[in-house]
Amino acid sequence: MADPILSVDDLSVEFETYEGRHHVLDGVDLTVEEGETVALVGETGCGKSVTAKSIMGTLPRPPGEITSGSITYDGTGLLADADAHARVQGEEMSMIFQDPMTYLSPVYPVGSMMADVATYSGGEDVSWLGMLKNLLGRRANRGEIRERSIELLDRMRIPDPEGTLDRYPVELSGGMRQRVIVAMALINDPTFLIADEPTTALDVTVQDQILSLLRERVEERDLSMLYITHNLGVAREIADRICIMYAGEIVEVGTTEEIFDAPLHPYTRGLLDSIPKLTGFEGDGIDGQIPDYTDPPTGCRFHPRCPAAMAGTCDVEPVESHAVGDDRAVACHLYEDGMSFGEAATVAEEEAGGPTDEPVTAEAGGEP
Amino acid sequence: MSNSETVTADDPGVLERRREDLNRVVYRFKQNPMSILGLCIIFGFVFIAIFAPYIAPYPNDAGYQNQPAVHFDQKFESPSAEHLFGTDQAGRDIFSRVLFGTRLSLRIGVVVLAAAVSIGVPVGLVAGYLGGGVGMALMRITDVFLSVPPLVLALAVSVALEPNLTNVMLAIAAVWWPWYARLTYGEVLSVKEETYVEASRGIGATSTRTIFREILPNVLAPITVKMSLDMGYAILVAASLGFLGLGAQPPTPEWGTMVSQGRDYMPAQWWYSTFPGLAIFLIVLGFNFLGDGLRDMFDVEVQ
Amino acid sequence: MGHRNYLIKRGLSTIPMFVGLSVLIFTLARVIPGRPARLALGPRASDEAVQNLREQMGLDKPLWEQYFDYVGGVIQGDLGQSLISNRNVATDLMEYFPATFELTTLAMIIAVFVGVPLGVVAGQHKDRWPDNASRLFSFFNVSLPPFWAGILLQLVIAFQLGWLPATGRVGDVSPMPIETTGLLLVDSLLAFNVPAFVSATQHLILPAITLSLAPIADIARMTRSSFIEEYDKDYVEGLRTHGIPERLIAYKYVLRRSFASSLTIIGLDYGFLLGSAFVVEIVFSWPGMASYGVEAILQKDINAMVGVTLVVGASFLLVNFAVDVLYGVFDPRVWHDGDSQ
Repeated sequence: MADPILSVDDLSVEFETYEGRHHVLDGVDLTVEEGETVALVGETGCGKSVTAKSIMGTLPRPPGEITSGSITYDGTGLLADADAHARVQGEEMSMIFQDPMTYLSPVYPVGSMMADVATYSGGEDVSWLGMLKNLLGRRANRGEIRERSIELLDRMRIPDPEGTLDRYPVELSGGMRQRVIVAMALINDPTFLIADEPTTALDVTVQDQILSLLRERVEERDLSMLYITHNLGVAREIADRICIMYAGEIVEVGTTEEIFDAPLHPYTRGLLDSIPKLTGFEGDGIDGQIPDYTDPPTGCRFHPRCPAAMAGTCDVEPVESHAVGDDRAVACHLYEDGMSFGEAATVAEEEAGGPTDEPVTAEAGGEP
Repeated sequence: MSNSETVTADDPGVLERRREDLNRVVYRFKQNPMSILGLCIIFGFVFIAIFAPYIAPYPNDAGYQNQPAVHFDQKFESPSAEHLFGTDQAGRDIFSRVLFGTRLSLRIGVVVLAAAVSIGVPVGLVAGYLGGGVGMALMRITDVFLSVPPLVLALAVSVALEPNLTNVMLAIAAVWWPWYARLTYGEVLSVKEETYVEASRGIGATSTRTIFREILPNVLAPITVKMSLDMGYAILVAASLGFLGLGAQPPTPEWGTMVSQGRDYMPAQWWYSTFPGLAIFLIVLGFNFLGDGLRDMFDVEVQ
Repeated sequence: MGHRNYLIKRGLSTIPMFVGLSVLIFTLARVIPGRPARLALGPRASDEAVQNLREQMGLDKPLWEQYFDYVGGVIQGDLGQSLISNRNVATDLMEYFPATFELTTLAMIIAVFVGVPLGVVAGQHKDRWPDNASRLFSFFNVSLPPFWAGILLQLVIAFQLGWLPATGRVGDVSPMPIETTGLLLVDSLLAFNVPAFVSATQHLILPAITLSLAPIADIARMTRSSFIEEYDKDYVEGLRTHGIPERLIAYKYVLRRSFASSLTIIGLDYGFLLGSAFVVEIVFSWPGMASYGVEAILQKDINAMVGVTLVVGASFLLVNFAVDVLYGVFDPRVWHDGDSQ
């Protein structure tokens, strides 16, 4: 297999705040193969966006600080070389944001912002003269950029793409704005795309439209994408592979089918249970909240909420990621390195105790 | 007795939180060195105002005890150990006169703001609380007042008045209250939106009670901050009127009047205008520092 | 579309303000204790003389009638007779207003061109020394009594260093340019009269700087805080993620939005500036409307004072109207108030 286009190894990020140091990311490993879409799934506040910002090089530092790890894009180490990072960020990577209402400048027509992204991405600075020209609307390849923008908006199924370029965000609906944001992310023809919950703020029908537009584009251009979401349902629709994240750690990795068919990590199972089902069956969800990052739980960060937590093990021993089968990894003390997928599935099955059993309460968590 | 009140008094958690709030407020104030400096300046001026007769080397030069003194043999002496700020055209000690001027300026500031607040706040409260046509009409009137710069309006008012200290205060207060009406009005509207006023209405509290128990405490912080910021500005406006000859008349040791008189002897007797002006600058600076510190402390927006 | 509706709506809302302003000023002048005619003639005048003047000024009519007479006059450009110049107040104002306009406008231009960059620099270096320095500078500026600041400038720059003239509007220049706009700078430029232009500029600098001090501070503080607020917005992060150079983000995107907030302060400050002009014109013997107004007050010339106050209030309303229009240029959202969903 070829090298992955993006690989994140053992990434740790801390935030310095007045409450103390937050250990927000704790040894995150992540890979995205060429042409692959990987979904990064986890609750709000689990570190998904920090991961994305670290990759894009826009982590605010301070207060953030990358304390260990590496990010490699297409063979280039990004963290060691700020210039390379800026170049890659501008030319090859791009990002789609969560909130279409706030990610467009309210005081310029959307076309102006798109044109700036088209012109200045890639990290080259702008002279004062260049800026004056920009403000006066004289830029070198104005017509070409405009054409490209119109074509992209058209591909995003925006009616009247040309007129839309001259409109202000306030004149567009949320769905239209999100299409503009997607178009803006695509205008430099990136090879790698990060989508940070791009559909969360939209209503369901619009969500589907945006998702299918993205999928289309990914297939057409063979884009690699890291899709961040808290919604496993969305991840299932778009991703080839899913990484489950909890409290700054990747707890489980697997192909989309595998994750849905046989979740190994108790947290993944909890997430799957909390998806509302059409049959009306309501899952139990997961009790509790994401832990405090200034003083994260010892051992496995999930153990205080874990129905399968083993006293004396899970709350003491740091948990490591175990490769299970070919393409699967899970960070949980229930499993051991070298287990075959079948064995692991059996453990998981036993742990879940069958679909009809009473859920294991937190107090009884120590029982096998 | 409303329920909310008993709960407030008996619940230790609430008291605890209040104390924490207070600690944080004090902490924030201390964090701002300028506000401490401002407080020191103001205390300094208050001290001077109270003890002027004892500090001033020549209290009679400032007209103390109605025994105004003149010494034409000492006129226009430049600053020296004997006369720190020099002497004026009548040989009076400018330092002593500046010290006594503190009394006038502080009095003007306090009286003007007290008057402005006691007109403006009720107008704002009534307008905000009643709303509707009455509220609208009241606020339109204040808007009209606000459309003329205070100094100009004060000038217009003072046309019809004899130029003296009382009338200066009257003129300034007459044009200053709309600022407080507007501020109070805005606060009342935002407080009204919040549910707890609704709640206290729900359990049968009267309008007056609602105003005094719920709304007034909420507008207190922004008004305090604004008063502190305005104090300096009111003193400045009064000094400007004095400078134009519309305020206190010579030989009253009013700072603005003194600067104006000194202008006639420029540039040779530079000290005459310089020192009274410096006093105005310092006192205004003190109130601005303090007001800014208070604004940070209470975390409110004014104007 | 929104533009025109917005302008019309905003323009119409100014009219009641004008009416209110005229009522207020008229009331102040007529109702306040001490009657205008007596004030004008002084305590020693005979009752008969006072009565004559009252009739002449129409003061014996009911108040509302006086008001409508006055407003009728104002509409026809008649502001009543000035008691000191014996001319129509409107004629006097036409003569004195341009000098004040020239002075306050230049002061405002200085304030904007110094205050905005100062605010941006402070905002970019939040809580570091440039920010603290600008903060302290602002505090000093707003606390300086304008008349005293003017006197200090005269002492140092005019008297001590002799760089600029201390008082007046123009030196001994002949020939003087023909008056077309009344703005000396413009008139002398139109006539290619270089000596007059240079002299007028020299005379303008000190009073204009004196007037601009407080607005500089206000504008800098306002720009700073809105700049910081705007820099925190999501779209800034978005632009940065797309690799847009920081300079473009700061000056094209952030500043435009925060300048819109500063405009509001500029409108307010224009009012304060007109107020300060009254003392600054006296300090610099500037032959403007404010000097005329102060003279009118000292001489108890009611018509002149009402005229001056009316013009000041009206200028303030007009400036704020202009500010609101400009606001829409910098932040087009206000135009779409209501026609967005």
